[in-house]
Amino acid sequence: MRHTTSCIIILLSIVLASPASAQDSSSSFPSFRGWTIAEDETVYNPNNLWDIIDGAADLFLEYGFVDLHIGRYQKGNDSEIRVELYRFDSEVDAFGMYSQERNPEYAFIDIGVQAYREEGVLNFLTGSYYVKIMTQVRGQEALNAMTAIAKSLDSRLKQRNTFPEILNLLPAQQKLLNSEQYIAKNFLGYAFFRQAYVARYGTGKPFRIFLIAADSTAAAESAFGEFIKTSPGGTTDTSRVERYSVRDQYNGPIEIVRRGNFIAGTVDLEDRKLANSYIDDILKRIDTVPHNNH
Amino acid sequence: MKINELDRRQFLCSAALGGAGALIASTSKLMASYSKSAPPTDEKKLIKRKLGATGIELPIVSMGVMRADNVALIPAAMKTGIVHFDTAHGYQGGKNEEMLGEVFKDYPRNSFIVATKVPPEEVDNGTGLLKPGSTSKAFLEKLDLSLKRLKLDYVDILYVHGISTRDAALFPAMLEAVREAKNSGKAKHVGMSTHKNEPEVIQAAIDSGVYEVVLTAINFRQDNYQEMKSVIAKAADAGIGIIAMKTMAGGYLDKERKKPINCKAALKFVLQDEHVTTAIPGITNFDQLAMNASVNEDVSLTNEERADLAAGKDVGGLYCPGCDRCVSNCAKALPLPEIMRAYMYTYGYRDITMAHLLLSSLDLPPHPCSDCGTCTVQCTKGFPVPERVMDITRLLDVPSEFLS
Repeated sequence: MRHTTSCIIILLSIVLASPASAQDSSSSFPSFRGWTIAEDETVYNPNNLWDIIDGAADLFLEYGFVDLHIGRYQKGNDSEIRVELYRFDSEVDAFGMYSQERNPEYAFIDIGVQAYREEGVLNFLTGSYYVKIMTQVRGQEALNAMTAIAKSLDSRLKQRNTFPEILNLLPAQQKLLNSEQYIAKNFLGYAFFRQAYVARYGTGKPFRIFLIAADSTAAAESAFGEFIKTSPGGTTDTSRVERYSVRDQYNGPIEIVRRGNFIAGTVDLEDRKLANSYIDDILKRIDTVPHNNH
Repeated sequence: MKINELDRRQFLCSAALGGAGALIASTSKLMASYSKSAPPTDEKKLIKRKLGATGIELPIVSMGVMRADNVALIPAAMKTGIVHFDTAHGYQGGKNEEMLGEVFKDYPRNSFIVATKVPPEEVDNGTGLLKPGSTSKAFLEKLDLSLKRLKLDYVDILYVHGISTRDAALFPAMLEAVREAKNSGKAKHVGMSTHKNEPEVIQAAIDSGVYEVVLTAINFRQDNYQEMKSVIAKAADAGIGIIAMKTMAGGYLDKERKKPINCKAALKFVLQDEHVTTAIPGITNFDQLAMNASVNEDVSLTNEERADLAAGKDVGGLYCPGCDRCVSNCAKALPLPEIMRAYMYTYGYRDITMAHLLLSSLDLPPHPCSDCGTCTVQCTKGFPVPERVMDITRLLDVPSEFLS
C-alpha cells in the first residue's frame, strides 16, 4: 500500500514536472493588420534559456520560468517588432521577475496587471506571463503598433490581472509607488529568507519594509531563529510577539518580527520609533488574514 | 550509502544555490573576516593569476553579479578579497549595472575591476550570425548607457555579449566598435563572452588580433572539455586572458533540478587549469560568497570532491538537455526527451522504478522503434536514440510489482 502510494506520488511529480503537461501557448500571438507574424521554431525552456538570454537566465530560473515563445511582427523589409512571451509557474513568480526589472520611474500604462513603455520597449505583466515587446523602429506608428499588440496579447492570454494580494499587507505610508518586489530566494543575502515581499519607503534616506510569507509557522520560526544566530548581538522583545532589533553586519539596522508564518521587518531605518510604528501597522494588517499554522 | 552521498551533495549545493540548507558555519566565518578585527584583505594569501597580456592580476575567484536587490553582497565580497565584478548591459533591464554604480561610487576607482557585456543589436538566434542592424554606433550607444548606469568613465573589461560563431566574432562592425571603445578610453580592455561553440569563438579571438579577453562557459560536464583545454592553452600563448563562467554546469545534474552538483568542486575543477585566470560564479547569498571565496585560498580538490565530479560526469553523459529538436524528426513523434530521461534514471541514477513510472505515463506503443526501417532522428548530443529507445522501453514489459 505504502509502495503504491509512493509510486503514485512519484508518477504525479514526474507528470507535473514534464514539459508535455504544460499549456500550449504556441498560438498566443495575435494577427495584426498590416503586419505579418512569424513565430520562432525554438521554444525555450529551463534547459536552453541560456541560449537566448545568457547569464540573465539565472534569475528567470529562480522565479519558476516555464517557457519562452518568441514572435516577430514584420512590415516591409526593415520594420520588425519582436515579442517575447515568458511564462512562469505562478502569478507571483511572474510578478517577481517583472518586479526585478521594473523601475519605479518608468512611464506606466494600463495594460494587463501593469505595463511600462520606454523608447523601443513595451513590457507588461499579465497573470503568470511577463511579456516583452521591442523594436528598433522609432516613431508613433511603431509605438501604436506595440501598444495594440500588447492589448491584443493581454486579451488573448486571458489571465487574471491583479497584483499579488499580499502586497496590501505592506504599509502604505511613505511607500514609493511601484517599488514593490517579490524576492523568491536569498532575501537580504540570506538563504533562509525566501518568499519575501518588499517595498521602498521614505522621502529622505530610503529604507525598506518587508514581509516574508513562509510555508508554515515552523518554517517561519526556523528562519527567524537562523537570522538571530547569524546576526547576533541585538535586542529581543518577546512580550507580545517574537521581535528582534539588530544592526546587521551587512544590511544595517533591522527591526524584525514574527507572527504565525509571517516574518516582517524594516531595513535601513535608523529611527527605531518609526520602525516600531511600521511594525505595529504591519502586524495589524497581518492579523486581518488567517495565519498558516501548520 | 548512495542516499547519504546524495544528501551530502544536495546539502552542499542547496546552500550554494540559495536552496534549503543554510551554511551558518561558513557564514559565521565570512562574518569574522568581515569584522573590523579581521586582517586586511592584502594580508590573506589569495591565489592570483595574470589575465593574459592585459597587465591585470586577479584572484582566481571573482563574482558574477546576478541580482540587483542585494547591495550588501558587493562590499562583503570585496572584504574577502574579491575585486572583479561581472555584470551586463541587459541584466534586470539595467538595474544590475545601476546597483553596482551605487556601490562603486564610494570606492577608489583602482580598488575594483568591473566588466560589462554589451550585446550586438541584432542577432539571428538560430544561426548566431549578426544582422546588418548590429552597427558599431548602436553598440557604442549601449556602452555609453552602461557607463552612465555604472557611474564610471570606463570599464576595465568590455565584452561583446553572447558570441557563438566565428563570423559573429569577426563581424566588422563589432571589431570597429570595441576598437573605438578602447581608443576612446571607455574600455581598458576588450573581449567577447561565449557560451556556445566556445572553441570556435576562442580561436576567432586569437585570430582577430583585437580581443584581449574571452569570457567562456566551461565546466566539468562539457563533452568537449579536452578541446576547450587545448584552445584555451593556445589563447594563453597568444596573450589572451581567459575568464570562466557557467563552471557549475547549471547547478543540477537533472532536468527536474533535484540532484545538485557539488558546486565548490565544480569551481575548483575549472581552476585546475592555470590558463584560466579567474571564474565568475554567480553569487546571490552570503553562504555562496563564503564558499566561493574560500577557493581563493585553496583550490586543491579533495578526494571526496573528485568522487563527486566523477559521479556527476557519468550522469552527465546520459543527460538529455530537452532541446526537443529530435521530436519533429521522429516518424512516430515519440516523446524522445522523456524516454531519454527514463534511460538516465535507469543507467545514471539506477532508479528503475522511476524510469518505469515515467515510461508508463507516456502512452507509448509497444516496441516503438521495431517497425521503422531507418531512423530519421538526429540528436544534438549525439545519443544513439533508437538503440536507447529499444533498450529502455523493454522496461514496459515488466509488471510494476516486480520493481518494488
